[in-house]
Amino acid sequence: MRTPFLALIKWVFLLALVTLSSAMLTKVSGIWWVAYPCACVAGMLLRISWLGILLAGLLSGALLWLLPAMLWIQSKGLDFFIALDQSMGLPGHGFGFLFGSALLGGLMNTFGLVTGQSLLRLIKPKSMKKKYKIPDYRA
Amino acid sequence: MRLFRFIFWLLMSALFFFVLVGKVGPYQKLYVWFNPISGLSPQEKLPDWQAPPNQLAGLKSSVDVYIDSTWVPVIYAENDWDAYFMQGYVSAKWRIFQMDFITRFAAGRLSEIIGPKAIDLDKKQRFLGLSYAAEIALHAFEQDSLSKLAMDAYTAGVNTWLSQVEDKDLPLECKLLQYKPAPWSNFKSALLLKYMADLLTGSVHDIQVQNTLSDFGPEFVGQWFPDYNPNPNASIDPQKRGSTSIPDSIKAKDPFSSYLNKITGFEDPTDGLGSNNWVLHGSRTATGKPFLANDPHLPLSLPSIWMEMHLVVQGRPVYGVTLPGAPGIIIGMNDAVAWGVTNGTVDVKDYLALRLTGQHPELWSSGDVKLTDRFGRDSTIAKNSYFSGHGWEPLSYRKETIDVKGAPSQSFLIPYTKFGPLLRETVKNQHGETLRLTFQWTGFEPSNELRSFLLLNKATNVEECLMALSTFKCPPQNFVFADTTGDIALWQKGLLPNRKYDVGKWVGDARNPDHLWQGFLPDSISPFIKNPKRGFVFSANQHPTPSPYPYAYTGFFELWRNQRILSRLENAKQWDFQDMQALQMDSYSEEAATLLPLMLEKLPKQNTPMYDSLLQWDYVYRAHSQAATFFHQWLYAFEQRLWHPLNPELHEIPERWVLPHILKDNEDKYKTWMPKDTGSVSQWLLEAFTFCQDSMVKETWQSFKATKIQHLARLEGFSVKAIASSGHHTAPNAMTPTHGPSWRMVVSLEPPVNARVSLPGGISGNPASEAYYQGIKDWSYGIYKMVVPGKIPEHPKFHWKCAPLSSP
Repeated sequence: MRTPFLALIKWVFLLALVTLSSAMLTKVSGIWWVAYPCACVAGMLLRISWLGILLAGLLSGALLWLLPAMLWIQSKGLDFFIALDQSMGLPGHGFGFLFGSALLGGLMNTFGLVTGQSLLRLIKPKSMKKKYKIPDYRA
Repeated sequence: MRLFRFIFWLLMSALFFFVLVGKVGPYQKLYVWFNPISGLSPQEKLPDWQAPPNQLAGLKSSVDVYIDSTWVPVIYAENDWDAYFMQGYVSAKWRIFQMDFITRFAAGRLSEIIGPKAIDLDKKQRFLGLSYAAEIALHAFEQDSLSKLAMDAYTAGVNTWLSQVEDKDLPLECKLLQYKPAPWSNFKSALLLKYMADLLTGSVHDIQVQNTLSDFGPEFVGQWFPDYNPNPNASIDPQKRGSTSIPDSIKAKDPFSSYLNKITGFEDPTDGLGSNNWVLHGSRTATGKPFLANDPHLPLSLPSIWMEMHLVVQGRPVYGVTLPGAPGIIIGMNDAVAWGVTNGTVDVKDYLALRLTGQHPELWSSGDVKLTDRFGRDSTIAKNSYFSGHGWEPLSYRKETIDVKGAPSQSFLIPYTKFGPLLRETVKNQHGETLRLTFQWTGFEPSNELRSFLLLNKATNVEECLMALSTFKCPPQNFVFADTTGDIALWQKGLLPNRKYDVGKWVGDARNPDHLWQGFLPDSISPFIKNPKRGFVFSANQHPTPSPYPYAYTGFFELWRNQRILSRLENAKQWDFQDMQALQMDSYSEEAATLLPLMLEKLPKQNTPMYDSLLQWDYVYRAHSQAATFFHQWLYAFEQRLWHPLNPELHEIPERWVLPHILKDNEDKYKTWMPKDTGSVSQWLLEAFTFCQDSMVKETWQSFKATKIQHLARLEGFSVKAIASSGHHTAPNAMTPTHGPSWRMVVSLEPPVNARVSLPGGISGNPASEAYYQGIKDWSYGIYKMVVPGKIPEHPKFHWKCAPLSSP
């Protein structure tokens, strides 16, 4: 039980790290792609399974890119996004644009995490191997 | 292996970035749309509420701007410059995309932001010559100090906003198209006014009537398209002003260009434009002072073609609607006068066929021809000549370049005759000669409509209003006025060509001097009324004068609305706001009241619910009436059968005023005029009735009419569909699927001047803003809001104070 619990903690930590740091940097800088280096750095901090990386990346990116939209929906409803979808020729009753936004944000962070993780494994393979024996759950 | 994995993911990341910044299918730079900071989703953050900086470079004194509780900007300024500067600033803040898009459309420059899809549309626009017309107008505007000051200040205001705006705060449409609007200029304001002139005068029936003439002959056209319909109520008595002698107008020699073959490739003229205005004298109102009403019927769009604006300069207010892109108020009121306009619908654009000679290279390919314009800039090469009336004349050329987003630019030459652009379309005569088409338009004449509006804004009585119109030429408009002293007036003002009789109804022959304009009619003989005995003036796009009028003019004049308005006004006693508003919202159709009894008389009695409902119908196009839908369909189906030898896409269909005569007693006469005798009126009525009854889904009028307010750039999601509304184009409440009263205004001239107004759409062009859809519901139900020019808003949404930028 200990190992999956540890993985869950790491996974949540990663998610929060990527989301918050990139959200803050994006907001401050006004530059959308700072999320990518944030995710790279996060990917280098912890070794985690590929599945964890994928989930953390997709979720953090989706949260980051959707946050403004979610706040808007909370206060005003979905009407604007329904109109936006219709205008862009997307189906989905207002979710087409949102889904697209979440997917792109998620992919960006996933690519950031996976690149960071590959870099980590490239530069610190031995020490990592010592510290983290390849856990069974990773398969 | 690890190195390979790292490089692989790095490359994958690079590929992903390439997709975001590159082109995917029809979409470019996806990151711009999906950017969480400046993309489409945070559109609600567009700064509706964001104040301008406390100090603005360009202002001369401090300015107070209130945004009132209905989002109308109220600008308090110490001088004209500051008022027009801030008008430009706030117009750009809320409507910059509209201003940019419409002027691009007018100039034929949409390809720059849309890409190759818009090239054909741009070419079509270039051949209308609106930029050429705007250059001429701008020259006139800039000769006049009042107009120049207003335009310079307005342009400075727009450009100040553009210089301050960040990309993330640009309109949604700019983000979708991924461009930033270009700086504003006085030329664009002139172009906007020419766009409006073209909208109101550019759609003429000459080609359709010419085709009817070619296919059915002069006798047929003479019978079905006379100069005047026999409607006895459709006139405004002309009153002579001044002592200009009346020139002789005689019939043209050989008025018919029947030697021409059919002309194809032209779009049907756009109908549906029309407006109402009327003024009641104090003798007919409850207050003892005049009431003025105006509702211009224009294409309904979001954002609205109009923008409400309230300017107060040195304590003198002016309130009304303006065109985003032009300074001043176009329709409105101040503390002493009110004015309104309807379209004159007089034909001021004539097509001419002409023969070319000289070298005959492809005229519209690019080449080294030097160019000239009206002001003698550059030089002309006479590549071709054309024969016009008195001899051969050289063509001049304008080089046009269409820059295309994502594709190479296209350059070509447009030849100009002394009349206007030479069109690409050709027509053959009966000898097989190929002729070119050109057109002459009063919009190409130097004029200054802007000065007229600026002076109206400041007028203190009706006489000053009349003087303000001295430079107003195109489009001809029926202006109505009222002032607080009790004077009322109507003047149809505009430049009208002096033609021979029958000229201008179809395509003229440029070789025939009688087919050319013989100068222009003087203002002194234009239709005018001041303080008439009957106690009101009105116009609804009908014939401005009765048939004995001694000058030849032609046009496309309204038939039914004016009759209803006239009958209501004749009975007006002690009218107040409620009565005036009720007439604007009146959906009673004089057409239905005239035609339906005659149609039912000729129809064998039917034992169906629809027949019974028609018998009981009161001719009011109510939103929930099914009888209204059925009658509309039945009449249309009957007309199709009646005029079946004519092709509506090519020929002109006779106006509906002839129907009562055919239905009453002239069926035999009708048959002799028609080229084929293939049935009887009764038979077609029955056929049409049965067809409608069998095929028509029972729909309410509202659902059948399906009035829609379309987004300016045709983005469906941002349009408003199926608006709950009554009305019909033959009723005072002239609502159609795409057109309608774009502004309703009723003004009481009892001091202090106050008004009830209604506008379909709010100030903002941002679909995510609450001020985008504002007012549509009230407008559809005929609910007005009260306004008082000069009154400081009691509960403004915002109050901004701006001072001139102090020197460092």
